[in-house]
Amino acid sequence: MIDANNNIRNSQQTRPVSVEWLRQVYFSNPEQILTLNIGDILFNEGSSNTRLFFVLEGRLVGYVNNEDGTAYQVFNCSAGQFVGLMSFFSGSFLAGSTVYAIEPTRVAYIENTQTVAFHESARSLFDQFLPAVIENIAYRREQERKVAREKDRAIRNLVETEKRASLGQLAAGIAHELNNAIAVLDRNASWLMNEISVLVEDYDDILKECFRVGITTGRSLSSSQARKKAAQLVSELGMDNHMANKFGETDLDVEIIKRLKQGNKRELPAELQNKALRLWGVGETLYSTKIAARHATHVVKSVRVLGSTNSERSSGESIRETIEEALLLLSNALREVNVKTEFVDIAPITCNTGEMVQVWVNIIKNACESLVSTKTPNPTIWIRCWDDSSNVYVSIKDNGPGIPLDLQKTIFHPNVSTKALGLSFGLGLGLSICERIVASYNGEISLQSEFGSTVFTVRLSK
Amino acid sequence: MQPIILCVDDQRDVLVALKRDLEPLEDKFEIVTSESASEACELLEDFDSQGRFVALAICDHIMPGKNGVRMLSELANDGRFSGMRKLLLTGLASHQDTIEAINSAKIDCYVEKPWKQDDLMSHIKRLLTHAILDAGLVHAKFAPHMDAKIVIERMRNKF
Repeated sequence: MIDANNNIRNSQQTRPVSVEWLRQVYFSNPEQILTLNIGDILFNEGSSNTRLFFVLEGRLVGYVNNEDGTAYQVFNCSAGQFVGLMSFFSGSFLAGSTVYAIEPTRVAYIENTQTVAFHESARSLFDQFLPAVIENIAYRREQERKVAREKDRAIRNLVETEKRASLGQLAAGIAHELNNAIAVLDRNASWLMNEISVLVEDYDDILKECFRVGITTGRSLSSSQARKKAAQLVSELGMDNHMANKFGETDLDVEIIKRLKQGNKRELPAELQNKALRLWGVGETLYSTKIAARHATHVVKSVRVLGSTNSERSSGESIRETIEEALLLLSNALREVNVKTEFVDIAPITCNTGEMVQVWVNIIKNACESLVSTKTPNPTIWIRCWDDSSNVYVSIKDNGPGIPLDLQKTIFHPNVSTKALGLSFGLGLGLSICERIVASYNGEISLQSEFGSTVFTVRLSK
Repeated sequence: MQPIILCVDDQRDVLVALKRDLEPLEDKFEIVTSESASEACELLEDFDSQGRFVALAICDHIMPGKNGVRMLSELANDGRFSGMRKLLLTGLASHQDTIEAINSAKIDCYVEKPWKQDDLMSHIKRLLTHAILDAGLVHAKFAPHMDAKIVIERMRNKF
């Protein structure tokens, strides 16, 4: 009916049924109370259950079994809560889960033959328990959602791990395939260097010198330096543009070029110059081939780390050499950065040099990229190496803007996606690999970073 | 003075390999190399002030500092180099970069790294022929580096 204020009111009083009322009325019979010890099963999933339970004290959990034998928890309830509402009120009287006690527990119950007690606002058992039933349904739904979310997260993690694992395997497989071919290239390059050096012995001293310069220093002039040198050759030696450009690119001394220009007893200047350029070119190309082969070898070696679990270590290795190797591999990237090294004489150690080089390359490359991408003025990397009785230490410092605190915590976590485009193999497989390698030497990598100073310190036990 | 072919790539090895491939053109063209977009732009300013004609720019895309597509886009809007042909030589351009290369940079040709010498040279021949004819230079002087078919085609269209 509608009252004076236009509100709808039940004909009965609207005092709701409370849990306390239910407990008093239905769950106070001492003959209908069960005591459970920890682990005691109240009922099994799928068995018949005609009772509705109320927890007086303690704690019960309900589990449902999956087809694959695993089980997941559907509820966890303590004093003041009901168990068996669904089976009782749906009329199925079949237990939906296996319920057992995880604390000493006392439960009271009513049978499905229970007669209903009088309550002004609810006349049937169902009406009286309805609020409890609804709350129960909502609770169960939330539990199921939680389980679903966790499963989802677990699956995503698994996919991610599998992806990484299979990428690692793929990479290791490719590396394995390439390994032989690259070994051949590398050895052939070395052999050719030696053999051609012998062949060149027959040439005139000045031509031998051109070859030696090429094979020792390669092509060190930048394009702008080459242009300046060419201009110098034109103005100082009166060379024609064409030849000046060609000689400008080389590392050959102006003195040598002057002598070539004069020719010698056997050859005209033009012929001599062309021979000289050819010999320098052959030397330089052998040098660059050797570097490329070495680079490829390192890529293969480092990628194989992804697939393998152990790697051979040799004794008497020099950490300093591994750092220098790393610097050589990164020489292109380091062109724009000052590198200062400070090596104290340290005893040789037992290690896998490839792994060591990997670690330095990773850290130095990160430092270099941080400096270049942020256009740090006077970009500099300092590398120090020292030891004590039990450890070897290497510190790599850069004067870049630093690594933000929150990133510092996760920086050693594996991350498949790298900076630029796709995976950059060989030159930087991530700090997580570094950490793994260093850990395998019973060492550690520590990081201290603030604006203007970022220091990675690697400690390796001897 | 010879027309210029400008090569831009931050990797020295690539510039060397490219220059070697372009060697046959050296009798009629000056091959200039540059290791960054900013260096290349400075060079272009020099060439312009010297009145030199740049027939072709062969450019890498991924470089520290300004990338290739950006450099070529800026040049596309520079009236002084409207006759210069632009060839993008790269192994790492994304789909988006390629779209920008065509639309803003208005490149004339795209060659993937690693390139095959004869493939690259036939593209270059084609582009140089157009550049020379557009500049009103006497194409016969640049034989054998001109693409005869294109010359005939353009002659025919003139009349």
